[in-house]
Amino acid sequence: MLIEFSVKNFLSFKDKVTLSMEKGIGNENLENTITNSITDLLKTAAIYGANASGKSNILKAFTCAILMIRNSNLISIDGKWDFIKPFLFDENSKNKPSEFEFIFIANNIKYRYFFSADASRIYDETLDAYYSQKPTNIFTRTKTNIYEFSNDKNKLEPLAATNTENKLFLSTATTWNYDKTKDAFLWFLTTIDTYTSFNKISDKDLIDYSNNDKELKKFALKLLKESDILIKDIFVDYYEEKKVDRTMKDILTSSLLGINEKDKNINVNIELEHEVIDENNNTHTYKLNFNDESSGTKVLFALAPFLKRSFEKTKVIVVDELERSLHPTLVEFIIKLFNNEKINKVNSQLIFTTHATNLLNLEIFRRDQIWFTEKNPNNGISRLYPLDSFSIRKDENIQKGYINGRYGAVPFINDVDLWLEDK
Amino acid sequence: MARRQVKKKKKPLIVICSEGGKKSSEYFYFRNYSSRNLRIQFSTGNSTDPKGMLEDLLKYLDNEDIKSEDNFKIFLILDTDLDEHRIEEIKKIESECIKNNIEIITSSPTFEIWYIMHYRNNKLTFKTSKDVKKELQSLYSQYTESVNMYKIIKNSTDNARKTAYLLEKQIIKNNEDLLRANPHTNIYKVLEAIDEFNKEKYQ
Repeated sequence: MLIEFSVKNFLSFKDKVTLSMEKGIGNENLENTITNSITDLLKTAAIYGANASGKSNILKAFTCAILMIRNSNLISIDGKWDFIKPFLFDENSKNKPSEFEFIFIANNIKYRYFFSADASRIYDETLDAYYSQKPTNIFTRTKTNIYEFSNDKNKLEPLAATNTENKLFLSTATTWNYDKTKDAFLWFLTTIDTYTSFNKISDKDLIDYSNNDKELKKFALKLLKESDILIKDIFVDYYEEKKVDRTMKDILTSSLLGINEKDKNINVNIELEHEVIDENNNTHTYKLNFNDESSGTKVLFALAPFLKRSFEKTKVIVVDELERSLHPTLVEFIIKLFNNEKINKVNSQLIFTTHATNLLNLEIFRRDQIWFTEKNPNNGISRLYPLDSFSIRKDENIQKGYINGRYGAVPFINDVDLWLEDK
Repeated sequence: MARRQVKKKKKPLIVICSEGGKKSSEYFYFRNYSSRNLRIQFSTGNSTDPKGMLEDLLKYLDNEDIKSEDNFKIFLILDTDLDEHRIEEIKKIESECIKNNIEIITSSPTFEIWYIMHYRNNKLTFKTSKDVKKELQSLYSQYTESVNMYKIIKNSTDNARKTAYLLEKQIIKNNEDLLRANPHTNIYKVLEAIDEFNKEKYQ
């Protein structure tokens, strides 16, 4: 579970900003919170902001850090992390590393993991584990190549000696089977994920659908039904076809020439069965090809396996513009699924950016679950702050307050006739 | 560990109720002062009498949930039209306005006297509101209620503020009834509130 995520000097975030999933004060909507022996947490958080205010950059910061941790072992010795980009509109910051910090719970232990890096190298890196109230430092790395270990020096020093400047030590130590970094690394590998959209369905999900996974079909049909889309059944044909038998020589030649040649053709056919009642009250069923379905139906079809997984195993899901292709009431429904303790029994967390003002309602969210991004138009710096940093009445109409600009994070748009005057 | 947070102030808001709402001269003037850090909103409603306008304004404030404790100002901008009945009506709603934290801003005979004060500080007495608008047209031939006068007169606003303030000071000194004084306008008080809000930093 995520407690806090901070980022500094990355894209529009020049100064450190922190997204906290810790429960704030107030006992309203307690079903939206997770009671935990370490600290009480929030199940969901929504991030609002004008266009180009930095909302998506939060998601990019999560993605950048997670991808670096996951792929550190795959990067070549001279490889560059091209997607890591500092705040560029400042002579000082543009040459400094970006900083990322995660505070999270993995296997009932709280961890704090921090690293600073630019495209070419890692500068600082620290992992602390909280086996008790006080942190135990697992490793500290400074100035790229200086390592400090309070325990297990014999094991870790040889690993540090082989680690390259562009690899994260968290990944290297875990690859070499060091047990005290394993849970933290696995949290990044399997628990936290970011999504920019649900327009594509992964091959794994298609295989699950095609294998007649009754539970998945049942879940998807229920989700579609709750969304007022009446689909009777789902049929997925998924089969892989070998292109040709390739010899080892073919494989080596193509890889030496840098040709990424797939040796499989994937064939997918999806049909959804609709039931209609004619004027004589007779029921008929018709199958419609997936390509002809509405974009909302397609998104729900892709969303179903993702939601099902989230309610089976604890996940932290970060989504950009959750409402894309979805009706606002459906977005509200998805949030309520996450907040519902009988459905989300495993305490998965959902963090999403959105423009959906219908969700700005203190009956849906607590004051600590709503966040805003605002960019200073003069210096281009984005800030991130929660609604509970303001004095908000428990019965305040926060939708009106947001639209009226009381919390910032809304675009400032003049009347159209002033546009004409500016000609 | 406990959730850390820096306390912030809500961004300021000015709500104005004027006769004609978003079709009034006040709207076309004051919208120029609205900015990213200071919203200026106009209430809705069709009333033209002071009591009805106040009711419309209270309804608007309730609908928009504007009852927060910090950082807002509400102005009810009224013309006296040099009309005794209207002046009496304005006096009747004064205590209700104070109760609801609403400041009444009046002009005699009409808001446009504020524009004239940008051109001169004498010969400001007119018999009717129509005469004021007629005079304004002679000063700026393209004048209509919806024209953006702010752009035309903004460089003289300091002078107008001074004229309006000195006139008001004199009226008070003479122990005259402000509402019955012709001419007068305390529109400058709205600008004082705007200045005050703009001084604050909302970062």
